[in-house]
Amino acid sequence: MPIAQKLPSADRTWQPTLESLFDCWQSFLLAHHDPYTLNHDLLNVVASATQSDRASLMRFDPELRQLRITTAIGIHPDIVNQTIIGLGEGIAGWVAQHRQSLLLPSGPDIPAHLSEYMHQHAISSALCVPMMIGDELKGVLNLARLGDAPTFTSEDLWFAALIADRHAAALQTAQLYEELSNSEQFINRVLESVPISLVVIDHNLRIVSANKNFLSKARHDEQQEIGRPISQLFPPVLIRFLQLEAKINAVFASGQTFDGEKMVYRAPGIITRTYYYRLIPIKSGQRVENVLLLMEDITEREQLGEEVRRAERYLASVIDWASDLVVSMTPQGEVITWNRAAERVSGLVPDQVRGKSFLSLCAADQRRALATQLRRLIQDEESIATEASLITSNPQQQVDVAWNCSAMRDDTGAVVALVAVGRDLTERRRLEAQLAQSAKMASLGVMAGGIAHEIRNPLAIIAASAQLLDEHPHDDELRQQCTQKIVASAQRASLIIEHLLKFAHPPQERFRLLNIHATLEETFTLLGHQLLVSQVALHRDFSPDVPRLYGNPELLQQVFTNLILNACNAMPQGGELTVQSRLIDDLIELRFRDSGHGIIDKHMAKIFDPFFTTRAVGKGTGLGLSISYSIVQQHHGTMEVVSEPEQGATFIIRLPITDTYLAAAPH
Amino acid sequence: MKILIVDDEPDLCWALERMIRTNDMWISIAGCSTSAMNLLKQHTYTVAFVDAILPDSNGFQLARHIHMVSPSTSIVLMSGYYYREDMDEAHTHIGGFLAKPFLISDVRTILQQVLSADQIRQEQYPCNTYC
Repeated sequence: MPIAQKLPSADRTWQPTLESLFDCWQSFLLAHHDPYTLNHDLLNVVASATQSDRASLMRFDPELRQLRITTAIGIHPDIVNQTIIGLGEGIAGWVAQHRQSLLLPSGPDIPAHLSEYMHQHAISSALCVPMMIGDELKGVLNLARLGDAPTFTSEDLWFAALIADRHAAALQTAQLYEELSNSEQFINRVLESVPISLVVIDHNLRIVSANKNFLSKARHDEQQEIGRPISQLFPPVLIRFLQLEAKINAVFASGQTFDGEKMVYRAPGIITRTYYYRLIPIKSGQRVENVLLLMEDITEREQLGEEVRRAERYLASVIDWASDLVVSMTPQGEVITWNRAAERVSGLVPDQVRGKSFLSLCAADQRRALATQLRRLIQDEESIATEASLITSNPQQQVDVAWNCSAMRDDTGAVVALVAVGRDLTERRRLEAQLAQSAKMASLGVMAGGIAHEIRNPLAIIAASAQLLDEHPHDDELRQQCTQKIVASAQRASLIIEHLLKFAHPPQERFRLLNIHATLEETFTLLGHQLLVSQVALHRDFSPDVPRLYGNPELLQQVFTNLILNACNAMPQGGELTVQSRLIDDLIELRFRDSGHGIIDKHMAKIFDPFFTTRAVGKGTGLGLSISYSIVQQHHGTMEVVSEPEQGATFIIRLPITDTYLAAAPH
Repeated sequence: MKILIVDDEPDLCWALERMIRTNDMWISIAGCSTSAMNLLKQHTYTVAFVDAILPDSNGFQLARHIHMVSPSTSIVLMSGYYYREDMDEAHTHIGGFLAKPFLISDVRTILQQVLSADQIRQEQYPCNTYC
C-alpha cells in the first residue's frame, strides 16, 4: 500500500493502519462511482478485515420504510433477493428503528427476541451499524460470525461504525454523481436531437463543442471542429460580412445576448440554406465563460414565406387588374381595398375611399336600400345581387353598377369582411337605352293609325274652312268662324305633334321626383285617340295617398304606353281598361287591368322575353314588355302579370318610394 | 233631300255642312252612333256621311246598322286613317269614301256620284286628296 508507506514505521499501530485504510478507500471511491462495485468491494474489504463470515449492506427505502440487501457476502443469492426487513424486524430492523449500533452478544440487556434470532441463524456474534447522513438513515451494515467464532469486540464496532459513516457519505456522493450524470446525459440528448445548430465558443473564439445538428448540417465531424477557431468554421467572406468575431467579442464583453439576424450559408456540397442566428452568453456568475452560437435553419420557412408572398401578389394583381370593380370592406362597411376598375369607373383613388363607408360612396337615394341588403349579408345570406350607382369624382355624374356582394366568414362563421364585385352598367344602359328607343319608335308605328286620325281631323277642319273662305270671300260672319276654327285646329294639331315629339324624344337620364298620376295622365293624353280607335274605355282608380316617387317620367311613360297599347291590342272588339294606383306599405302599386282575351298559359312565362310577340311580323317588335321590365327594374321595382284566358290580364307594377330625406342626410 | 253627318268633331261637321248645303237640302248632325241611330228612327236620309272612328262605335259598324234600318240610304265613309287596301274591304253598302282632309270639289263629286243611282256603285273608288 503506497500511502501506508508514507507513514513513520515507529507509529505503525492499529490506529494509523485504520486511517490509511480510509485514505485508501477514499481514493478508491473517487475512482469508482458505480454504486454496485463500490458496495461489493467495500464489503469484501470490511468482511475480511473483521473476519466476518457474513456481511451485508442494506439500503433503507424511506417511502416503504423497509430495508433491502444491496450487497452480501456469505449469503445465498436467493435469500439476498427475498430479504425485506421492516423497521424493528430482526437485528437490522432494530438498528434501523433505533438508529443505534448493536454488538451481540455484549450483555444481559439484549432483547430476548434478538438472542433467539441469533440462535436460529447460528450466529455467534453480530455487529450492526446504521448508515446515517445527518439525521437521515441511508441503510445498515451487518457483520456476523458463525459457529464458535469469537465475539466482535468494541474495537470492531468502532471500526464498523467509522466505515458505515464514511460509506454513507460515499453513497450520497455516488448518488449525486449519478443524478448529475443522468441529467447531463439528458441535456446532451436534448441538445443532440434539437433541429437547431449549437456551437459553444470560448474567449479565444475557438469552438468548445458543437451539437450533432450543426456537425451534420455543416458536414463536419466533431474531432475536426473542436478547438478550431471560429474563423475556420465559416467562409472568411461570411465572417467578414457578418462581423461575426466582433459580435462574439461584444457578447463576451457585455454579457448581453445578440438577438439575431439572418445569415445565408452554403456549406461545401450542400445547397444554400438560410439561418437565423443568435449569440447567447453562457455565464458563470458575472463572468461570460462561453458564447453559444445558435443557428436555426429557416430556409423552408423563408421559401414558404416567399411563396405565400408571391401567391398573395399574384392574387392581388388578378383582383387589381380585373375588369370588374372589386371592393372589400369591413363588416361595418368601411372600404379596405379598391381595385383599379373601381378607380377607373369612379375616378376616386384608393386613398380617397379607404376607411370610408361604402354606402357613402353610393348614390344618396339608394343608401337605405343598400344598407338593408348588406345587413342581410351579415345575418345569414350567402350573397346578394343589387344595383347601386357609384358617386364619382365628378359631382354631376354617377355610374350605375350591378353589384354582387358576399360575406367572408372565418372558421366560426363570423363575418370578417364583405366583398362587393361590381360591373359598370354604363355600356349596358346605353344599349338598353338604344333598344328602348328603337322599341319606342316601333310603338309609334303601332300608334300611327290613331295619330293619323287625330292629326287629320284638325287638318280636315283647316282645309275645309280655307276652301269655304275661298268660296265666300264676302261673308264676314263665315270668315270670322273659319279663321277661328283654322287657328284652333292648327293649335290642336301642333299639340298632338308636341306630345308625339315628347314621347319620341330620347329620355333624360336623370331620375327626379315625380307625380305618378301626372305621368299616367300624360300617357292617357298621348294615347287618347288610340283608345278611341280601339273602342277601349279608360277608367281611372287613383288613390289620393300615393306619394311622389323618385324616377324617370319619360321611361315610366314608355312603360305605361306599352301596357296601354298591349291592352288595346288584346281587345280588338273594344273593351275596358282600368288603371289603379295604391300605396301598399312602402310600395306604390299600379295595376293595368284589361277585359281582353287574356294570356294563354304557354305564353305567360315568355311575355317579358325580348322579341317574344304574338302579333304578325311587322305588327310588333316583341320588345315592349321586356323593355318595360328593365325600366321598372331600373326603378328598383317589380313587374308581374296575372291572367286567365278570356278573363283579361292585369299587369302589376310595384315601385318603391324613395326616402327623400336620404339625399339630405346620408346614411 | 235629307243628309246625315256623323262625326265627333263638331267643327268638321260644321265645315262639311257648309260645303254641301243647298236650298233643297235638310242636314242633320250627330256626334256619335247612338244619336245617329236615333235620328234614323225619325227620318229617312238619302245620304249619310259617317266618320270611320266614333266614340261609341266605328264607321263600318254604324254603316251596317244604317243599311239594316234604311237600305235606301247611301253611305259615304270618312277617315283620316286609311290604306288603299282598306277600300277593297269596303262593304257594298258603302257608297263612297272621303279621305280627310278633303276638297270641296271631292265632296261634291262624291255626293253626286252616290245620288246618281246604283249602277255606278260597283265602280266606287275613294277620292284621296292631299291638301
